[in-house]
Amino acid sequence: MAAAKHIVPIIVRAAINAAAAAVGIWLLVKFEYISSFGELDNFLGALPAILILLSIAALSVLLWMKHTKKFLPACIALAVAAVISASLVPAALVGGWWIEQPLAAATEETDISVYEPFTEGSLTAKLDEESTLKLDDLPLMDGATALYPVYAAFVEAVSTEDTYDPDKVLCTKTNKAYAELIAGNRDVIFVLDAAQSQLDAAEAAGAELEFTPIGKEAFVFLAAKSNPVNGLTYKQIKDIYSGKTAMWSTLGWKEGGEIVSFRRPEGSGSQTGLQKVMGDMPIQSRPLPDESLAGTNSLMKQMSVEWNGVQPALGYSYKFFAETMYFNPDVKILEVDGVYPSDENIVSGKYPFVFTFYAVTNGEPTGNTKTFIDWICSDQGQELVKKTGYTPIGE
Amino acid sequence: MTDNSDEFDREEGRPDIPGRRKSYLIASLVFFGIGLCLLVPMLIAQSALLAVLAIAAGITGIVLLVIYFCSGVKKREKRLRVPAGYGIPLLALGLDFAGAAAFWLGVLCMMTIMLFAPGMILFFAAVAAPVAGMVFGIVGLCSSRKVIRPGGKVMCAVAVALPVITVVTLIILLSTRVLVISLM
Repeated sequence: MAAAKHIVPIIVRAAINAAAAAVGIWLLVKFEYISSFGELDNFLGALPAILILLSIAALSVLLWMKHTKKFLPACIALAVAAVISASLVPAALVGGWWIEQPLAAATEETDISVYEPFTEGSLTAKLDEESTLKLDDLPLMDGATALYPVYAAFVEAVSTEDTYDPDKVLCTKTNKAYAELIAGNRDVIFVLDAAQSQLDAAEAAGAELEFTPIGKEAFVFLAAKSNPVNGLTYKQIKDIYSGKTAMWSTLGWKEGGEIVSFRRPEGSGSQTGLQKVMGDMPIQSRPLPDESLAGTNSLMKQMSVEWNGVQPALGYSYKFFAETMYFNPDVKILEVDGVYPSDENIVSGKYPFVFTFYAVTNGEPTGNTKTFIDWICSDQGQELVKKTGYTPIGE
Repeated sequence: MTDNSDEFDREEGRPDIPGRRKSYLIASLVFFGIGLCLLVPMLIAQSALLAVLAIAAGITGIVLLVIYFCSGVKKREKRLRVPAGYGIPLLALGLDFAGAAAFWLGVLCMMTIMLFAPGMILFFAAVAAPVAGMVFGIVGLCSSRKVIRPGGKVMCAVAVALPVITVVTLIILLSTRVLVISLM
């Protein structure tokens, strides 16, 4: 009986200790700190793992030390240390310490006027024959910059110069397009997947977003041409954007220095694409080494920045935008897992990051909007998707 | 200094077993050794299981080392000829500065000779040491005046505040680009 009285507290302490250690190890495995141990090359990237281990260590000391009145301050201090360490882990995972600096306003917007319907020299794709649909009254549409060429092509096919109304064909970018659709100010928008914040906003507003897939596009990673790294693995991409890998030397470029990874605003099409790539892995934010690197806040231009004598930028975008709409001769598209995002590899599914883009409506599409979307999904609409430079939904 | 002023006193009526302190040290060294032995094959084989076991061994070693250290503060004060009542404050401040030293050593490991494992251990020490310093500082602040002198209490307060002020200052300087993240 006396032995049991002595042993039971030990067993309870050991059980609590083991449970805490198990939770900590589960977190380390879930966020891939153990499998990416060799790729951890910076303090901030390792900080979440350090905090997890610290909270386990503090709890362990607390459990096994003497619990007498003399040790009360130490017990309380250790308990506070364990709780604070554990509570800081979510912030450490996303780099939530930084005082956010406002992104520099874009001083150079993508020139989409070259794709405007019915303008001389317009670069919009054209059908070889007359469209089977003609609309006198276009739905009020909006969308992502990268998708303007394709829906401009749709508009030019289904309307005439007399019936075309430029005020009905807007391009306010993904974030604003979603906001206006949710507010009921647009009939249809052409965008990629919605970010969680946009889905939450729709739910809060009582809007039921209907997504009709109309095409596919490759999500690509970009680097400067002077960068000797020509491709990344999926694991390396996750390690970079979760903060574990911060140096080009870990990826094989010894002189590269720090990876200057540019990010897009939350809710933008390309940021949503990155979130899809990362899945459940949190994206860790880091301040840029220098404010001047933000430049025009145009990611394609930012790829050319120089820092410490090299061009260490890393970015992401969609293939058509990077190769055609905002081509930068300093920039190259990287392979992922050894696969380049060629048309063939996109269609065959070999390239891993191919995302669908949609015609999105607030509720089921009706009237001219439904007719328009049905035509987009037809052979002629899909022909225009392909001619613009995207992949038809059926391929 | 009377028996009642011992900061880490043994429980009343429980005799001090000679060598018990030493056994904590030996046990902690054994666990560190196990952890190190597991670290090399873990890095070679990239085995998650070995990593988990190495981490568990390391944490156990740290816990035992802390217990060993805590149980010998008074003896250490006498041996090191530390003025009475200043052992814990000096320990607290020393841990704070040891954290900074560990951070820079860790950066050196990562940048110069690319020793990931020692670098990571040093980064862990860079966070754990100031936290331990703050814990000892709080213990010192809560101790009676017989145990910790007023000067010692000031040192303890500094030991508690210093890591917090340092972290907040760094966050502000890095966020505003006064300092640049290049070695972190």
